[in-house]
Amino acid sequence: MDSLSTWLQARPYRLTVLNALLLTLLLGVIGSAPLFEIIGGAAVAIAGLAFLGKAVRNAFRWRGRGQLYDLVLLWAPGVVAIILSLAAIGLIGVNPSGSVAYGLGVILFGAELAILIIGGSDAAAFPAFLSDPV
Amino acid sequence: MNQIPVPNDIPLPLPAPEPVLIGVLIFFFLLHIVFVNFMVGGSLLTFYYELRGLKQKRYDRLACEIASTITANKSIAVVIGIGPLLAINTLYTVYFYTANALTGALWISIIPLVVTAFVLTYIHKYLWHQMDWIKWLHLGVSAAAGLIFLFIPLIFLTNINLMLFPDKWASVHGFLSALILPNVFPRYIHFLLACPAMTGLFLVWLFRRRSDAEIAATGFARADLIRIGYQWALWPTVAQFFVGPIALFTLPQTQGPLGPVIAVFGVSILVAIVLSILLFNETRRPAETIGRSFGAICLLMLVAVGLMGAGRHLYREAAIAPHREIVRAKTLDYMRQVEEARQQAAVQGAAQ
Amino acid sequence: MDFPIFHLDIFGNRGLVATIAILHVLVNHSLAVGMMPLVACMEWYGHKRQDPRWDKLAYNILFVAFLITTTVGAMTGIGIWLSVSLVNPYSIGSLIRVFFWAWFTEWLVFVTEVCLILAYTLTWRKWSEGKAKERHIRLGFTLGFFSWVTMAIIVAILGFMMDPGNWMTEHTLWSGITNPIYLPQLAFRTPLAATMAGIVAMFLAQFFTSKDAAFRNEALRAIALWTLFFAPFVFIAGFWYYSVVPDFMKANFGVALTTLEFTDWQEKFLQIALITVVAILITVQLTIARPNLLPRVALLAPLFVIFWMTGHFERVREFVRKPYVIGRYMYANGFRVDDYPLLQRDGVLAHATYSNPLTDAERAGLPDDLGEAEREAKLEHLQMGKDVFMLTCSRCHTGHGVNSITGHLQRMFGDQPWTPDLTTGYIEGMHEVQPFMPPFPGNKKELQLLGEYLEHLQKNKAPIPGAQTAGIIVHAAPALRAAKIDQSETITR
Repeated sequence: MDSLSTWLQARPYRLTVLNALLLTLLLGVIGSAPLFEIIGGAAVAIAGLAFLGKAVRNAFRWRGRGQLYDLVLLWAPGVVAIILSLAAIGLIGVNPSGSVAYGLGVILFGAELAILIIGGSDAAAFPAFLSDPV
Repeated sequence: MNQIPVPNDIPLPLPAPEPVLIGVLIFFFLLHIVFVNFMVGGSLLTFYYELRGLKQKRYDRLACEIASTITANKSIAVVIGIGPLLAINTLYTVYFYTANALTGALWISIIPLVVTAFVLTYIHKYLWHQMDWIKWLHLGVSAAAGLIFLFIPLIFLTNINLMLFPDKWASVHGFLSALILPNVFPRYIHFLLACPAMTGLFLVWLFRRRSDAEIAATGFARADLIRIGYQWALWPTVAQFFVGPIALFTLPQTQGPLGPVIAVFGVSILVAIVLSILLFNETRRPAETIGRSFGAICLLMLVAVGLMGAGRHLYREAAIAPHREIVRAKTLDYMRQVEEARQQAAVQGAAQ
Repeated sequence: MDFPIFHLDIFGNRGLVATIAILHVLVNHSLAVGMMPLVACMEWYGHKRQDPRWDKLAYNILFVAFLITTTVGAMTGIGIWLSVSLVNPYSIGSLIRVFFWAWFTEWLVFVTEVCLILAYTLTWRKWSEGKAKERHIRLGFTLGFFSWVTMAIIVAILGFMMDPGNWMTEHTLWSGITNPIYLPQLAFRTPLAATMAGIVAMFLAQFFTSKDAAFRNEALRAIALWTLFFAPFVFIAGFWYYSVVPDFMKANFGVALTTLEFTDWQEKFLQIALITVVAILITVQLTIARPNLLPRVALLAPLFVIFWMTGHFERVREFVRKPYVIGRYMYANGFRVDDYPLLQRDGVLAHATYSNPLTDAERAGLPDDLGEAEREAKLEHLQMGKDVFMLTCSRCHTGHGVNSITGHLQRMFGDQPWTPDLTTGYIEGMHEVQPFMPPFPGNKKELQLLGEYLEHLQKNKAPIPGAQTAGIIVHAAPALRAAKIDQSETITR
């Protein structure tokens, strides 16, 4: 337990990601599509805005000095994660709970939310995370 | 009950005039078989020189040089073979597919066998130096690939032989019984001798254009390498003067006339005699003049091979042209009956 | 189908073609069509950045692709020709009469592609500096383009092979390209190939960069970005294909009902496609974010799922054709639609040159207490029943193997004796109940004979050999043989 909490505290986003995954699991088990849309949507909105804010600030700081490839690496993970997490919510909304598509939607949502949170942290630290990940 | 089957053919017209398809078939088949000669001959010569290389290191280097050519030659041989396959499927549908079906197990096993041979050849070439300390295994890999390369032509020969003799179709039970039909084995030996012969010419071409540095790395003088190539071209070709006529005169009797066939092969023998004289002279030439006749030799070989291709086709026609006519007539009759029945059914259908 | 009948009774004839063809598709999509542009991009990037590590990685990946495409890839391509010629010679024989020049053109492009890949691989080390290097890079992109062109042509050929409207009226390459299925299929295969190549390249990159962690992460990230770019198009185009096919199928059949089984398969395809794309997306995104965390094994899952989806896609594509092998012209059993009035009147045996010899197991199936004449007559019936089975059913069904006729009969009728009275009624009308089954091409007497043979198969579990082992019996006058059916009586057990 000690080593787990040490590991969790080592990086700022790890605890957040764990919370996000637990939240996803809870929402998935409850099986209510409207609930998923509201709460899941809110989670995406918060994490998404956090990412966008950090990315914009970083892009501003690095303007003129970054190559196209680096800029793509800065923006792509978060943007794609936002789009896919919304797509996941779409999948959940359309399909009945318990179906294959619903399950896929839940998994996809959890993964995308986690990636979005990590992406936000990376965006703040960009480009340091390229050589010092985890 | 060894009756001659007269099946119905595909009732669709050919996609092009027959002479065009025959031209495609013969031209690209000859190209295919030349590269197959390079591939099989290359494999055999590589093994031979690697064996000799156990005593003299420079032969090992020569073997490595020859091995490196198999990569390209094998891929070209395989891809060029598709054109003639398409053409023969179209021209001789009944005959070719029947022979395929009757030897189907071995026919389809061509695929895994060739894949295996190619993989072994890659292992042999790319792990040459890494396997220096287990030379016996390295030679074993080469031998295994070589054996497969020697076996596969038998599958093809069995098929294109069986397709010519509808009277034999009922008596065949699988590949082995088709393999022992005349005259697969004489034709096979004829093909086998052609492999080192053509590869010899290929080596002459190769060593004439290699840079001085590359030649020096082999440990041989350029003239010596060229002479080696010419010797490989010469002696199997001389042996062909015995094997060729045997293959020619053991060809089974056909319904059509064989006169043109013998005439064409006769001319090719004359060409081959001139070719052999030139080859012999080349092997005797000193370093300053060796290679002078290479252009002429290639031209003569081209003519000889072209004549063989034509003779081979004439034999095929002599064997099955009469039968094709009967099949054509039967198919027309069948189509007439189909049309008749269709109209009858339409009338009955309308009446109901 | 007037050829000696090649038959694989355990594995099934369709299985032979499917295995070879799907293996070919997997290799050429992931290692040729998709991989060559990726390798060329990596070489170009390495040259631009003057970073030899990229060049080395590109060469290593190319080399693996070269080894596999020039062995398994090339030979399975030829294997498709060889296996289809064995399994359904009448269909391929007909197709080649009409589409010879299309295949010939495709072949010339293949020859170019082979020469290009040989040149690209074998000159990498030699053309390594300055102008030669730039030439080499251009060669790589040319190779990538030609690989794609071969796929574009073959998809056109596949398209007009399946479209009934084109068969006898306009058999040109252009009609294949204007086929409604063509663009969706090409749009699906192109990003699929790129995505497959990306996953394979990520997998290989882990091995080739194991000693340099920083470069490993950089390489994995970049290849993952390539894959991420193409992956969504796989799903979008897959959905486009999914939406186009049912209309096409309705036109194909001219039958109002779309079978339940086909709808089931389409749904399944969409599900598998969804799982595939999600798996790829998550793996790829994680690779971009945390490449160092990616275990080598992690890429096997998306790779496997892609292979599964591709196999299923090919299966659905083939299914669209049934009951025809050439739309509205020839049924899957090798008989043409136009042949049916004649054959349903005279019987298939009246026009069949070949017979499949009875095996020892089949001969042994008769009771011992029969008189000589009666035994001969029973054997004759069994022989004819077997010939009807082999001629009309064996292209898709085996006796006791995959998709076995006995399996279907067992499912439908259980353990009660499969008498002709029980089975023939069903067989006669099955094409109305199962639209992907062709109608029975023989006449009523042959239906009865078939029923007797099927009854025999209930007890005799031995596999049925094909002409490739058992040989054939030749009938010079099939019409006379068929006349004998009228003379003999149906002998009950």
